[in-house]
Amino acid sequence: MSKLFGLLRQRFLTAYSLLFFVFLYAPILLIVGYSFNSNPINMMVWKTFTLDWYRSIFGLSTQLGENALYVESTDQLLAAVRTSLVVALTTTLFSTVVGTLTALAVARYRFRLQSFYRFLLFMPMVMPDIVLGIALLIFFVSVGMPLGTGSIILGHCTFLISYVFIIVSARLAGMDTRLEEASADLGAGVWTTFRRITLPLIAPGIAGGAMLAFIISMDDLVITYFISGVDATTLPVFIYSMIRRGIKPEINAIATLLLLASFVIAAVGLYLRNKQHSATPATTEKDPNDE
Amino acid sequence: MKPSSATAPVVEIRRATKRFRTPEGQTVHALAGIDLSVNPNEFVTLLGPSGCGKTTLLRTISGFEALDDGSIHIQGRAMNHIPPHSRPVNTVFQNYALFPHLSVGDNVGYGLAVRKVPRREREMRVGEALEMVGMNGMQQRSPGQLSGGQQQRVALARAIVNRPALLLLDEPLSALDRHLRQTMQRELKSLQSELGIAFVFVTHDQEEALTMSDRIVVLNGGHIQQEGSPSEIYNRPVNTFVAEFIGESNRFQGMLEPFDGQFSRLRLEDGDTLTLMSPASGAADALHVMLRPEQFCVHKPTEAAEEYASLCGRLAQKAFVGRDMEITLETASGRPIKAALRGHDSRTLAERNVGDEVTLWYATSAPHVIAA
Repeated sequence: MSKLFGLLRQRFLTAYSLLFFVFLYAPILLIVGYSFNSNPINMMVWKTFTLDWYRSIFGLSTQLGENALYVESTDQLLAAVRTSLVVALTTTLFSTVVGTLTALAVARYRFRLQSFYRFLLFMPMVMPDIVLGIALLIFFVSVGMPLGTGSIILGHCTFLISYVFIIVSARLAGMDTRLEEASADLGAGVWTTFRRITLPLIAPGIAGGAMLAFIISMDDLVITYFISGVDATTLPVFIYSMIRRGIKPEINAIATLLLLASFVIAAVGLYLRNKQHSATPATTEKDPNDE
Repeated sequence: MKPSSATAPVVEIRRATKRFRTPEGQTVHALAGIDLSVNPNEFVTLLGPSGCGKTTLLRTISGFEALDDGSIHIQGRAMNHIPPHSRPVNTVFQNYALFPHLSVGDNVGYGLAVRKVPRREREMRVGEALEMVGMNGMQQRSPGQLSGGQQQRVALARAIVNRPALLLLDEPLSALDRHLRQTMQRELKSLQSELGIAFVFVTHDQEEALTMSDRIVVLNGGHIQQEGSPSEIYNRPVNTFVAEFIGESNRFQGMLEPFDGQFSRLRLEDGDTLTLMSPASGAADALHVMLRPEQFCVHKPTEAAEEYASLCGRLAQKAFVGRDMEITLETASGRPIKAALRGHDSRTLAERNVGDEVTLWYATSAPHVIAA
C-alpha cells in the first residue's frame, strides 16, 4: 500500500516538475518557434521554415511580398539598438562606480543617520517604476532639461546606483575587516590596501552589480518610456511601439535575438562566478594528511 | 634614550589609558593607566579573562586603537601619531586573516611586496620564513586548501618575514585543537628564541601563558594585577584574583592568632584552623591564604615531620585523571578542599571510597599569604 503511495507520489512530483518548467518556458519557446515560421498572416499556423524575418530585420533581401514587411526601417531598429547600448553602457559605468563608492563609505565609516541613508539608498529599488517615470519626467521638464539620451541615462542611474549599492554592500558585509587590518599591519597604506585587498575581494560583487545594471538598463521600458522624448528611442520602447500596431512576425525574431544575447551575458556571468568560487577558500578544514 | 642600546626596551608603555562608552552611556576603562615595557628577545604574555583589556592593549601597540592618554614608544620612537602601516611591528591575528585571493607565497610576501623588496630577494625570504614554520614548498597553495594549523603557520610566516622589532600575537592558538595547540606552543617558543625578537602574546589560557612566557602580565578590569615570571605568578600571587585565575587553588580567610614561637594559626570563619610556619604580618590580622591542590599529601613525610600540619575530612569526590588523583575533601564544617595527589598517595586513595575519613597533610611553609 505504502509502496503504491510512494510510486504515486514520485509520479506526481515528476509531473509537477514538468508542468512547472512548461509553464516557465513554453511561451518563450513558442516565440522562438514562431520566429522561423514563414506564414506572414497567422503566425500560429505553421507554413514553412524561413529566416526571412531575421533577414528583414537586418535589411537583407527576402522572398516576402512588400506588404508582408512591418519593420518600418532597419535603420530605425538599429538606431534603437545603438541608443540602448549607449544608455546601458554609460549607465552601467556610472552607477557601478558611484554605487561601489557609496557602499564602501556606508560600510567602512560610522556617521550620523547611517541607517537612514541606507534606507534612502534602498528606496529607489522598491519604488514603483511608473511613479519614478512620472516623477523624473516632471523633474526634467521643470528644470528645463531636454528629453533624450542624456535624460534616459540620468533617469536609469537614479535607481541602478541602488542596485549596485545593495549588491556590493552584501559582498562587503561578507568580507572580514581583519583582512584590511592585516594589510595595514604588513605595511600597506590605505590606497595600497584598497587596491590589493579590498578591490579584488569585492570584485565579484562589483561585476555582479554592473551586469545587473546593464541588463536592467537594456530592458527597462516603463521609466524610459516617460523620459525618452522623441529623438531617442531605446530598443524596448521601439518594440513596444511596434507592438501597439499589432504583433508582427519580426517581433519574434527580434525577441529571439534578445534572448540569445541575454543567454550569452548570463553564461559569461555564471562562468566568472564559478571561477571566483573555486578560488575562495573552503570553509571546512581539511586534514593535511588527506591531500 | 638611545634606541640602539641592546638593553633598551623594545616597547615602553606609560600610563596607557583607553576609555569606551557603553550603550548605556557609562564610561568603561579598557586600559586604566597601564605601565609596561618589553625587553629585546623577551616573551611577554598578556593574560586575563575576556574584557580585561589585553586585546585593547595589543591593538594600541599595533596602532589599530588610539590611546586616550599616555604614551607608547617602540625602539625609542613615540608611536602615538604613527599609523599602523608605519609601525615596526607585525601581528598574528586570532583568525589568521590570510588573504583568500592570494597564494600562500603571495600572502607571506605581501609585506615585502608592499615595501618594494625586489622579487628575487622576496622569494628567498618567503622561502626562509616558510621553512622556519615547516611550510616550505607550499607557496602555490591557496589558503583555503590548508588546515587550521597550516593556516596558523602561514600567518606566522607572513608576520616574521618582515623582521619586525616586535611580534604581536592575538590569541593565535585559540582555534586549534588541544594537541595541535600544545605542539604550536613549543614551536612558537623555540621560534622566538631562534628569531631573537620580542613577542607579546595575548591569551586567556593560563596554561598556555605558564608554558611559554618569560614574563606574564595578568590583567583585569584595565589594570595590571601582577607582573612576573610564570613561577612567581603561580606560586606567589599578590591578590585573590591572580590566585583564582591562575591554576586551581584553595583559598582560606581568617583571623591570625598570636605567634606561639614555632607556628601561628589562622582561625577560619567556620572554626577550622590552618597552621602557618611564619606569618607575614602581625597577629589579629584578617588574612587570605592560598594552598594549591598539589601541595597536599596523604602520607605524612618522615623527614621534618614536625613541620607538617593536617586537615581532616570526608572524601566527597575522587577522580582519577592519569598522573593525578583529584579529590575533594569536605571538612567537618562543610568546607571543600581540593587536592591533587600522585604516586603512592594516589594509589592509597584509589582504595578509599567516597565517604571515608581522610587526613591530608601540608607543609606549614606551603600556605601562601595573599593579602591582609
